[in-house]
Amino acid sequence: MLDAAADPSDAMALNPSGNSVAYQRENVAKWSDKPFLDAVETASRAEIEALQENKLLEQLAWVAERSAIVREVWSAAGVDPLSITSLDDFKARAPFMDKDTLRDFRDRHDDPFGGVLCVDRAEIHNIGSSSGTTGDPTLFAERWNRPYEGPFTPREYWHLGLRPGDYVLELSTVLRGVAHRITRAAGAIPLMLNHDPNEVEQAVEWILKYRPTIFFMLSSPVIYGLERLEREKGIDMVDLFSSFKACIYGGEPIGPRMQRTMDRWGVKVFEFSSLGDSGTIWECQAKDGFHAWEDIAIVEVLEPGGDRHVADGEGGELVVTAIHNKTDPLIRYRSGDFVRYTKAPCACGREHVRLWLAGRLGDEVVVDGVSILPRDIWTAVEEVPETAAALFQIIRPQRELTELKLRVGYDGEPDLEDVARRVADQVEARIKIRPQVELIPNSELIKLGPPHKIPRVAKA
Amino acid sequence: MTTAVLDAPPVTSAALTFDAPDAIWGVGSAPMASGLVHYPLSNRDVLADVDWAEGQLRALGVEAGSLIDLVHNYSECGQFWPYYLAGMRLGAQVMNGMATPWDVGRIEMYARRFPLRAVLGVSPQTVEGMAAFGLDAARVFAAVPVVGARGAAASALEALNLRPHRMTPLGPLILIAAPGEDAAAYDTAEWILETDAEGRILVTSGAKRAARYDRLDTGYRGQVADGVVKLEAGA
Repeated sequence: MLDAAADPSDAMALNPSGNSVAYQRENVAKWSDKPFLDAVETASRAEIEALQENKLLEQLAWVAERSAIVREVWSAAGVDPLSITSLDDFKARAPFMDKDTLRDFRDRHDDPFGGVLCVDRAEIHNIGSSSGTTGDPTLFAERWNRPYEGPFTPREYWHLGLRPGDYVLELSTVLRGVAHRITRAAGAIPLMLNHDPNEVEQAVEWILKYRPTIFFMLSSPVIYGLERLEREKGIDMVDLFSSFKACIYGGEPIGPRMQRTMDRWGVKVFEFSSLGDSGTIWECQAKDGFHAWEDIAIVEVLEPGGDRHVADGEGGELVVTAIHNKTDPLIRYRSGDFVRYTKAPCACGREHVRLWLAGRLGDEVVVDGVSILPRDIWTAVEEVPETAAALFQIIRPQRELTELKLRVGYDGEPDLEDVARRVADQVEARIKIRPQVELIPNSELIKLGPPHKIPRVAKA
Repeated sequence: MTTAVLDAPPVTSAALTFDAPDAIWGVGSAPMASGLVHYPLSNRDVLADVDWAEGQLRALGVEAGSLIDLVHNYSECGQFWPYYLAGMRLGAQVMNGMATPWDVGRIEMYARRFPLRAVLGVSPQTVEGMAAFGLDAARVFAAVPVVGARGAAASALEALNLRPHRMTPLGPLILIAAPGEDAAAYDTAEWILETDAEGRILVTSGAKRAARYDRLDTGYRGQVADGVVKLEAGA
């Protein structure tokens, strides 16, 4: 089927980086002195939408034949995928799917992939998954001997300044796959370490030795670890971060206090997030929203729970259709993410849609009629020195609550009663609701989730 | 913790030499007696390790259509990545879990939803995590023909009446011993293993490898003879 040591004349074979020889050659051919890697990055809106329409119609023909979930969902809605004639027609008539649709299909058909798999299982190379913080993990099947279908592309790194031969410090996890494949596709050399706040001292040593260009990735727990190291070892953080053209922050939004720490250290932070399980969205140099690549996915923003498209600049639920991924594409997938969007040109020179993240539907609690998301709590928790790492959870046995309960991580050996009171004061000052605060050590809270984030809501 | 660097690779024009055998593929790390060392791997090194890993997996019954779950942390990519490519070369599908307590849910999920041929790399943290999250390790792995477990995890699974292969990350190498055995073969084409007077196992890299290990103490004791390592009991 494939041969990692294959003759490079076999374009479908994998190279030592796990990328197809053809894909690697294609990437190498793009390297230039230009700021953008792919011509499509600077396509106009008209060009993007024409490309999308072609790719969409091709994708619908593909999934109509191969995707069991699409056949079931569209049949139930009385819509034939092959009857869709245009992008507008799709947006008017295509039925939706969401995580529950996939889980329901999976359980009824004993299909781990929830009916989305469009290729024979023997064609798959890698099966990754989400972290499973909200239930059984979502699977991602990947074929590696074809153009990249993974979570992000070399174009993000290129725009942020990575060039072939550079080092990328990868403090990473092994969840959806392995990040070093994309680093190698971008022509760079990965420095591979665990994403663990307790191991950042090793990262410091590697940074000083190799002086990498990109840091993938920062997170609240890792910054917490670095702050501790700064306090305890007096490390010059400005020097430490001086070689980085970009430090990628992910997992969850960066809080204001942590942003101030990044500013103090001179860290060039660029955030990224998920694009509804069909890729990722990244901040560009302009840092004015997250770009979604519209040659990879169709992005819609709809009124929550409804099918009305909200106007440019307004907020709603992110709905995504994969048009590049042929292995396990999601079609009109309601992500549960609240976003605001614009298709106005970005200062970086690109016109691909930009998104601003507001939160997740599943994270919202309503206390006495007041809607509360984790970001509403964030700044308050950060303001108390002992809980400044902002590692906290909202206790959410159900969406509607009569009382707000928080589990908050703390550092050191403080007077817990006093800390709990000050956290409650800060929260009440911001949202006018006084919470019950349970305090546990940061080191214990970090253990509850994947190392790059903690679950921001917990049932108990 | 003492940390050493083995032959830090120069920043070269990887653009021109990207897939060249001597081009640096990445920098991994390995736990040694002196602490963690970081070391470069070239494309050639990776492919040599894939050749070895392919034989190891084949011996475990991995073949076209097999499903294998590799349990490792990101810092162990240097050791585990060849097993991904080797599995794929054999036509297997590869999934992964992390050797941490919180990731046991994914390991359990893969074992529950797929007819796995092998789970390789189960760590003591995995076994502890399963207990902490209310998962019965014996039940999770009951239907998996090959379970490769590290150190105390192997003993813990044996106590649950499972017959794990004993896996040992010996610095930059991975040893896999058959159930009930403590001896495992290693790739003599790439590595020289020997013991000193105190029985410490020392590793030296082959001449073609990018990293120059020179009689580095692995932190393990045992015996080495004829391409086979026998670790001291309790290692």
